[in-house]
Amino acid sequence: MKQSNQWVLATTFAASLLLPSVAMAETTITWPTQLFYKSMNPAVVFDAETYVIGNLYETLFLYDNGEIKPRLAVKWEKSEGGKVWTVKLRQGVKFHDGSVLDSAAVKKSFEYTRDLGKGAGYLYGDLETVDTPDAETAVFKFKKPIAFDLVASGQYGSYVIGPAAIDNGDDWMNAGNSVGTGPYRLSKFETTKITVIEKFDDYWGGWTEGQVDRVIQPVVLEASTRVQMLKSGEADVADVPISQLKALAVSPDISVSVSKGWRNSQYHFNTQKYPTDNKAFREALTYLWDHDTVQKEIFQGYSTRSVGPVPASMWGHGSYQTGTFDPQKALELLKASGIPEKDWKIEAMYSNSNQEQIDAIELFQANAAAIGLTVELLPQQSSKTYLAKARSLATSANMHSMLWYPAYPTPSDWLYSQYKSREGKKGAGFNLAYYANPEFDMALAEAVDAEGISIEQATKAYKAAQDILMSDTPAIFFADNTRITVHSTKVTGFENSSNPAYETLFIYNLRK
Amino acid sequence: MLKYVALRLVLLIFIVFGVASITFVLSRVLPSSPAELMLGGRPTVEQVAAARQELGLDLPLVSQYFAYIREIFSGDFGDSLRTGEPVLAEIGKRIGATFELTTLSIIFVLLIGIPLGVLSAVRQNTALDNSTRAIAVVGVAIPSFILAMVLQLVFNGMLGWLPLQGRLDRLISLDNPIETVTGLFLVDSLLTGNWSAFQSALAHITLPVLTLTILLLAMVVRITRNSMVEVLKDDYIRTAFAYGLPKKSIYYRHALKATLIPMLTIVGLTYGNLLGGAVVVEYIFDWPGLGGLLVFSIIENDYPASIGATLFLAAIYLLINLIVDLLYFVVDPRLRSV
Amino acid sequence: MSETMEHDQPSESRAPFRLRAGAFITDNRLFVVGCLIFSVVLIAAIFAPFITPYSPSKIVMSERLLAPNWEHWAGTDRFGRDIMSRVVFGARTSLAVGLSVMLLAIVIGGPIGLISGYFGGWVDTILMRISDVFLAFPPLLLPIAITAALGPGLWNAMFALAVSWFPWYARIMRGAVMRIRKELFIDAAKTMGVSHMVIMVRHVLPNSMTPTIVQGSMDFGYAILAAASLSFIGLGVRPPGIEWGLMAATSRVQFLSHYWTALAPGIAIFTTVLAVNLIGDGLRDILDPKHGEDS
Repeated sequence: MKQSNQWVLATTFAASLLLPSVAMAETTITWPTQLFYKSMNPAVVFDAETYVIGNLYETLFLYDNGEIKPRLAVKWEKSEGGKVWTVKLRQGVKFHDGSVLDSAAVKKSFEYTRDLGKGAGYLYGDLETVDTPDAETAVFKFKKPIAFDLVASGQYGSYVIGPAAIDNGDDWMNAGNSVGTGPYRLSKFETTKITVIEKFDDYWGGWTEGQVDRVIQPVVLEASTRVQMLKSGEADVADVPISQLKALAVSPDISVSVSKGWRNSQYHFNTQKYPTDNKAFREALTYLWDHDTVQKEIFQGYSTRSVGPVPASMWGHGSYQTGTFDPQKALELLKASGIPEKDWKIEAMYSNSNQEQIDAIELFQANAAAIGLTVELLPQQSSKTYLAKARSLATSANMHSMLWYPAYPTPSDWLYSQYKSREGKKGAGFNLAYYANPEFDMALAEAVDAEGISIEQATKAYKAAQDILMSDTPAIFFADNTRITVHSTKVTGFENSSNPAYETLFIYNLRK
Repeated sequence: MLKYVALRLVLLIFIVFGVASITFVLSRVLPSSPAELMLGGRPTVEQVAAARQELGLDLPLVSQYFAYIREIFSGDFGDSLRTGEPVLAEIGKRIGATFELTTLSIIFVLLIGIPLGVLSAVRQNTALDNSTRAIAVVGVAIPSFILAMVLQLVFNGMLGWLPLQGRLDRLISLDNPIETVTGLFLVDSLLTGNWSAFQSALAHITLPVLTLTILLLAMVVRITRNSMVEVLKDDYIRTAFAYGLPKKSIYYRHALKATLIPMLTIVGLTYGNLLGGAVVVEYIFDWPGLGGLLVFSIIENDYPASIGATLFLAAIYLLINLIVDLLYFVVDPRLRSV
Repeated sequence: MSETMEHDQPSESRAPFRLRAGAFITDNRLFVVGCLIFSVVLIAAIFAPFITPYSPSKIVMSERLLAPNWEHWAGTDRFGRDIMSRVVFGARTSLAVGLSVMLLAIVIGGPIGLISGYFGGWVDTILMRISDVFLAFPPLLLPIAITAALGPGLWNAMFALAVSWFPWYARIMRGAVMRIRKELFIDAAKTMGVSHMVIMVRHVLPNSMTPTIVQGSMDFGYAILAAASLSFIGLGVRPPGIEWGLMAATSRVQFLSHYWTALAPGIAIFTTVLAVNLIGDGLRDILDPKHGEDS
């Protein structure tokens, strides 16, 4: 017995000398999430899935603090006033299935996203064709001038998807497969239960010691459980309610990383549902929002007041008065709105996945009750049911919660996806304000087109579009959120892993 | 006896039809737009029309009803909206978890509850009896969710001994997954010698089982004690005492035997209460069983799954009661001549 | 409480009232304790606005999640609302729910049992088999399924609970009726040509009320528990409604670090149900001594 033990020890020791990687323990990060990921097809997703997809797939360009840097593209140039973009691809890049990144793959990927027309596919509606003069050159031809370098550095709709994934289709990807060029590949995906990604050994960026081999994202709806998992060390990273930060910060094993973010918080008013279809009524409601308390007590300082639909940290934002808390004024405006007092009753719907949205609307409810306005709350357990109900006018409410971050790093997506009229399209999309104003649509189209010409011109046009929007009071804009990551002190590198242009954490840059 | 069993089965079929009819009303008649609920998401007009046709909602209610009954009895509950899998498969995956939880709980409840009830009846009005009766009165007043939260607070929040929720450590389910033999984690992990998984499964099941055991103990103790008290008043027991038979033999041979039938009733009742209680307990402990499936599918508007889970839980309850009924004959031969 | 006293009077000896009352109290200690606790809850519910130090919905964000202290005996919740005041107001909801469910179940089940027991035969068979179907669901399962179909909310939850509870009352009423319908005076009335309706309402009903009342008082606690459970899983009362089960549910986010947010509503449900059960047990012993043998 003793002898055989020694033998085992000796061989293990030998093995560890010869094959260090075999003996090395896997570095795993457990990151419980309250979010359901609906799909793992990068051409389809337009929601929280970016947290995962952002580590599996890569874009041609990387947006970094106002600069556009190479990623899968190493060189690019525009011609014909921004209608044609010639891109040189990085060499020696492999997809997860071992195939090589070339111009044909890039062409197939972008055309697939365009033709599918789901998620952020609309971004490539004007893409005519992608020419492939040689394996490392792709020439994108558009109908109109476009800031392709900006658009294609975005976190939705611009990932380069390997041809095999496209051939195998949606179901195959959703069965837990990925063919991207990113540092991680998908190894398990069960939408309501768990997502696992694992290190892709042949990643072009290479690997060094201390990097993370595997990330496990179990779905844990209960906030208290996520908090407890962090405390017990079972979780390395978790999204927890801000109200829990103080209690967590007591522990020496847990720290909070704060970084710049582009996410903002809103409550859309349903402009097509009585009584919020009345503009004066909507305006009255904005006076019931206690901005100061929301900032100070609910976000506990991890946010700043909104200046309009586009966060203040993004170029092209406006500077609007988003509301003053004044119940007396609200009462006067309600009386003047023409809505009879018996109809001072609205419904507010939200997803239970964000505690601050819940707390904020309950505060609003109490403030409204004080002047005789009833706010009925319709909480939904997950973002999936929430969207399902909010997107159909029949089941929608008067107010809908919304957190927004942009598809690509310009103001366009805040305005386009949330407030452009949905004429001729199915359901409300993310326009949960059911807002439709041709004048605004036109001004917005001008601004988006101006992106292809110059940022100065686009800035001016975006402000003009926002002027129209703000005069219609389509929402309560209440917070520009600071990005908070609560994590175990064993995991480091968060400052290198966050970039406001990408909601995901770049796991590749973390160390444990 | 055969006649009784036959009658019992006929009644059972009637009740199964009744249960199916109630779920039919709940799923097709009460909701304002079952087709849209079935589809979830944001269906187009064509999708709704297609679904209406598929569900037969354009047909008269009577033919809808028969179609529904046919589907249910052929085991077709439709596909879950949450996962897209057939509801029956979803139920199959979760039934083991519920079975493991309820079975362990009932074993503990009976093992503790029956001796306690008997002792209490035998030593009436002693300190033991009084405290047992106090437990019985207090126990039925505890809300299941408060008990569960208190246990979570003590054993997880304060002591940190036991996990808060779930059935298995997530790392274990990935790295040392339990091979499915019976679907019961404790049994399967032992059979396959997966020691770390066994420890994890045991740690996870402790609090839910403890919750259900405490909740049902009161009821079992109370009924056992009362039926034992009745039996002890019976003539033949008194005669036995009068003849000077040893006390132990009277209690355990004769009296306890006579209480077997009420005990069986207790088992049936307890199981029903367990299944009902398991709904809330599974929800709190995020236990991946049928009760949790029911609550989450209701919250998620997953109609096919919630109806499937309801039907299945009711069916299990009926089955248990049937078994209990049939066991009466085994226990009491006198009934066989009925 | 007063009814039971009245009930006692004719049957007891002619001892002075004080002696009789004293004997009653010693004989039914638990019942009296239950009554005392329940009176406190009832008074709290009725006079809630006058006895609570704070408005139950008053949000004071700067005082959120305070541990129990002299100003806030039960602490404050995550909106800085006084938990004690909310618990007192919550008594209103819980008592109203318990009472309504019970009454509604009796209103549905009573007539069914009455008709079933009075007429017997195929009417009885059909009605009773239908009730059996409702009893075929494990407890709490049917109310959950019904509220799921109707949508969450206080009224739907009460209706759902009553619908799943009525068969018990139908059975009890039927049993009572069957015992009594063979009595001589019923037959006499029949031969005199008194209509079925009159016989049922005038003679049968008053004589079968006792078991119903006993069962109702026993079920009152269960109804409160079940309603709280429904609220807890999100199918019952919703904010801004104030209900104990809902308070416990919303405390789940932080109860591990701020235990008091769940403590007070938990104690409130427990004590109320306990009191109601003690009363129920006591009533059974007093009104229906054949059935009640102990505890």
